[in-house]
Amino acid sequence: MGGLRFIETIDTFTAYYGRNFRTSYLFIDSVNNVLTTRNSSASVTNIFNHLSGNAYMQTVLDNLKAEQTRNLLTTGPTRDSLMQLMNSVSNLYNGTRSFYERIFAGAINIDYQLLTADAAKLVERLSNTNSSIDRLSRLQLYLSNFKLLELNRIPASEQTALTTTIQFIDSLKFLIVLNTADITNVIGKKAEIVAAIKADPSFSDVVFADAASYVQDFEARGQLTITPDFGVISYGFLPWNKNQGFRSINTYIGFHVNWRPLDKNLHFRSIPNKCWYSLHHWSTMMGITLIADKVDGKRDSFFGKNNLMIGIGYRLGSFLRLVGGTMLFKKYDINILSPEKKTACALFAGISLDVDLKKFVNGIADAFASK
Amino acid sequence: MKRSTLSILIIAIAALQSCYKNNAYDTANRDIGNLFQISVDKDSVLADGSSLIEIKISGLPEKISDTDNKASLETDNGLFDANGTKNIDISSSLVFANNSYTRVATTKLKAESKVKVATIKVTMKAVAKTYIVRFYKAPPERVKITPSLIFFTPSFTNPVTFEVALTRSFGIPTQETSITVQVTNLNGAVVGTFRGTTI
Repeated sequence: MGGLRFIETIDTFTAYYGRNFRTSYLFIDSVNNVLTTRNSSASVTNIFNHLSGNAYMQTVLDNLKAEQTRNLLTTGPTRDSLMQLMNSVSNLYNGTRSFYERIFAGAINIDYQLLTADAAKLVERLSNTNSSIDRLSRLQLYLSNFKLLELNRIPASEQTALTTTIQFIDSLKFLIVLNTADITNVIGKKAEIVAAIKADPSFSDVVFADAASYVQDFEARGQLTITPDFGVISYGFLPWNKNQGFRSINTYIGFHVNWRPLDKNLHFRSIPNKCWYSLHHWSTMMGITLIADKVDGKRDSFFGKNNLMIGIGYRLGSFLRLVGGTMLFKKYDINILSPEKKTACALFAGISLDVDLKKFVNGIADAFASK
Repeated sequence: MKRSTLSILIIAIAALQSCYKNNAYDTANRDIGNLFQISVDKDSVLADGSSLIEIKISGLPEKISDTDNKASLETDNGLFDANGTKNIDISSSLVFANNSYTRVATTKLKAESKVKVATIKVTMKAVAKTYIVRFYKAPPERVKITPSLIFFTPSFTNPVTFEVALTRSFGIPTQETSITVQVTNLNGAVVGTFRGTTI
């Protein structure tokens, strides 16, 4: 990969590399620059000015309409092809500058189909440009036949306009063909780089971060990233904290979003190249307490009989964690006449055990059902 | 922003906002004395049996439950105008003033016709506060003496009765107002003897 010069971010990968998961960005050299140059304001404007709203395009459209009505052109396209041609000519005639820019980039095709706003969706862009080329080729063929067969019916004053129109359609097609080649090149290089990443022995178990590139399915990734747990916490334990006096012990169920995916089938110690502060240890947690801790006139549960907890976990081993964070509940107004309750929080710390996902989900259902 | 950074940020903010102070709810720290304030439009009025003192209870929270929205008032002297008794329960309501809503409860105390000091006791949510008002003497504005006879001859057997009426344009003169009635001759000498007085 070192020999490639990267300019544009085409895709993002996350790969397990040594002790850490690292995010690698896939860039494509010069291709984007070339595209940008070809789609320069001047070239787009030039073609746009000659085709959009062009009087001769209107003439072509009128001829197509007449032919479709008469269906006299025995050597020309069929009725369906005529409809297709009329659509292409109409879109080119009525197209805005933005329409032309998007045709060049492959964001749409001439028929406004296969829309994709994402420049990184290369396959869709390729499909759009190929489709546009096909339409323009048919239009060129039609205009050439028209010129050959109907030249004697075209007034001399319009012959130049016809020739110019054919030339600009040719230019349009030519640029789109070049862009198609570029996009094909990008796709090829992307595959090449992905293959290089996968082949690199220092990378293992590559997980691609974009939706199209994940090696594992959603369920597998969820199992690696989200870990349910059950634990015991205490709060109001710090002598200098405001919450002092609100000292209690409670239990909770919750889940952790690991800061690094973790395969629990592997022993935690066997994960290589990690130290005590590695992100493998850490997680973001969210949970609910299981024992109601409410005192009339002072505090109430956040919802029902449960308080909400958010915090951070530190994994000690395959099953055990330390947790800490803040517990959210409701506090009454200090004025005994006021019925208002506001959200309040208290620091907590505790210890937890990982639990089975199915039991965890059932546990949540039971906790709410028994309210 | 990375997941870890975001988590730490959120939790740090929440932890810093650790806003629950348990001992703030202790009775000693609740500032019960300021639970509500009592005020009156006049600290003292004439003891004429008609003058009114408006009592206002303020400093209440904007939101208050129906159960707690009750102030019990009690007075040892005077009567509450609304029910003519010495006890009354009133509830507060929101009043818009100075571009904001405040919750107040009001009632009126009617003065007695005797010079008295009245102690008003207000109780809300088992918290009681008192306020003292005074009824001071209302002197008569008019004195009307009506003798039973206009012309009479001296006699020990046929006394003349004088009816003395003390009145005010509003209310009545304070009870137990002492008056002195004398009968004099043209020289200013007191004549006659009063045998008995009824009030």
